[in-house]
Amino acid sequence: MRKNDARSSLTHISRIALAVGALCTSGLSQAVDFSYSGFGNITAGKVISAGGIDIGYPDGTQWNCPCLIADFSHGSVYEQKWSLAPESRVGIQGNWTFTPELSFTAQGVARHAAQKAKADLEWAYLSYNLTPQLTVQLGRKRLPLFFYSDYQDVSYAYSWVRVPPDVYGWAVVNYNGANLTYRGDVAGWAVKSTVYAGSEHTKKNPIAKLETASPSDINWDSMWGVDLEINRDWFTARLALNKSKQQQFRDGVQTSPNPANGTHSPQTFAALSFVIDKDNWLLRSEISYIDRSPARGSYRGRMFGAGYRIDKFTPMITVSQLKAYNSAFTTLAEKDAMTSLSLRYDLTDTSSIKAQYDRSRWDLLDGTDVRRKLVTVSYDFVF
Amino acid sequence: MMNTQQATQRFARTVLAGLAALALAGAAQADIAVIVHPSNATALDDEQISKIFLGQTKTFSGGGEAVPVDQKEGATREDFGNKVLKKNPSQLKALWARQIFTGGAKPPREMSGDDEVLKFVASTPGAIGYVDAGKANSSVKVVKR
Repeated sequence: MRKNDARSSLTHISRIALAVGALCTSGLSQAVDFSYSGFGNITAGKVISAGGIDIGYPDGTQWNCPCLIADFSHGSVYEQKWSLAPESRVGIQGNWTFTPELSFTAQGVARHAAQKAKADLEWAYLSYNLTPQLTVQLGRKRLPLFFYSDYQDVSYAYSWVRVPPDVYGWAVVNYNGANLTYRGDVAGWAVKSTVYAGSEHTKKNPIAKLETASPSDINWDSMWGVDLEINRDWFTARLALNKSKQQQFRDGVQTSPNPANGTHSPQTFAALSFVIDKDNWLLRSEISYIDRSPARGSYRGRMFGAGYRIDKFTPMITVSQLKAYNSAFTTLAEKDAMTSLSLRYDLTDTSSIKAQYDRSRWDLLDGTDVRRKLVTVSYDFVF
Repeated sequence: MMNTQQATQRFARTVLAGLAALALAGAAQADIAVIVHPSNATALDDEQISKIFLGQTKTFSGGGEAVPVDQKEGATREDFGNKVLKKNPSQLKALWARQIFTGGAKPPREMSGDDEVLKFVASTPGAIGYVDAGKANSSVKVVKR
């Protein structure tokens, strides 16, 4: 049965990387240079206002709604009472350096999202520098679909409490495979570009739990991607493309795509981002395009945020929007928009405090909508 | 009540006191010297130094591999960050958090102070570091002051 193939979220490649890492660690214990670092956040939030209709999403039998989904990928849902559970997390990362060119990195993140305490292995990869410009990595990594995707757990590293949920909410956040990264100086620009290939099989996927408690497994197979990031002084731009084939099972039965249409449905993610960090101004923007036609619905997303640094404070206003289309990508079916006011205060060089107010509206385009207001406070740190 | 003359004098005193304070603040900020090995012939501007220290490139424009060394947290490091990298400590920490936790570049090795940096740079062909400008000596080459 396909479901059993997906028993572990670690595929063979990750296991090999882990085994090699463990072997190297034990065999070369004298020569191995070990270091660790970590990050975390304690975040409390509450839905303070709710309007519109009840669409039964997230599932009212599991959550006491009206609710707001703060992180689709991990099933983080706020209700109308203060809670630390949906978004608080802690991550620890170990790095074993065997030679100047060869190292192994593992990162675990513990959280209590989706109403369940969970510790996930987010990263476990071997890294080898082929040249000063080229690095090859083998193992398990976060999936860099969008600008903030691969470090969205490290909220200390950005000025919001969270990345805009509607735009960043997808079923798969990791992949097992290999990547090749170029990093260097091209005509005065700092250029970083990665090509990668792999797959990910998830079990009891949190995004599917938002619909119903019955567990669902989601697989992204035959995945490959490429991204290019350029930076000069205060300007950064990134272009990313990811293609894969999706399938979903519930209780061992394929639920997506419709089995009549095959075992997998193709999907393409593309995103273009700009960051301007000049003097005290901070502008962040991203447009995204998700084509899952013809089997499933498709999307277009956009996000724009502007902030101004005043000493240790960074107030910011951010608007994001996700437009959902029918499976032919021809008819608009839903418009999800969020406006966020956030304030970050740099407490120390390694910690910050944030407060955020979000106003969300899902316009169902039939005269009805779902409206939520959320307040969140957060303490973020790295060590 | 103050007459005009008194008011003018008071204003002048305030301005002078302010200027004196500014001058003192300027003097208290030590100058930084960016140093490389004496054999290193590469010309470096702030942009290239930044790219090396931010882990965006691992080579000098001439082609040789660069080995940047940082200083422990303190006034010298903050000064270098503000003047050359043009980022405050929090901005730098956030940039490195992204690199470290996404499998990107590793931060430069940290050394305990000017003397250790001088010794390392003087004995390592690809090294690049920074020290208090008054401490730079003939064992290293100053590329920016």
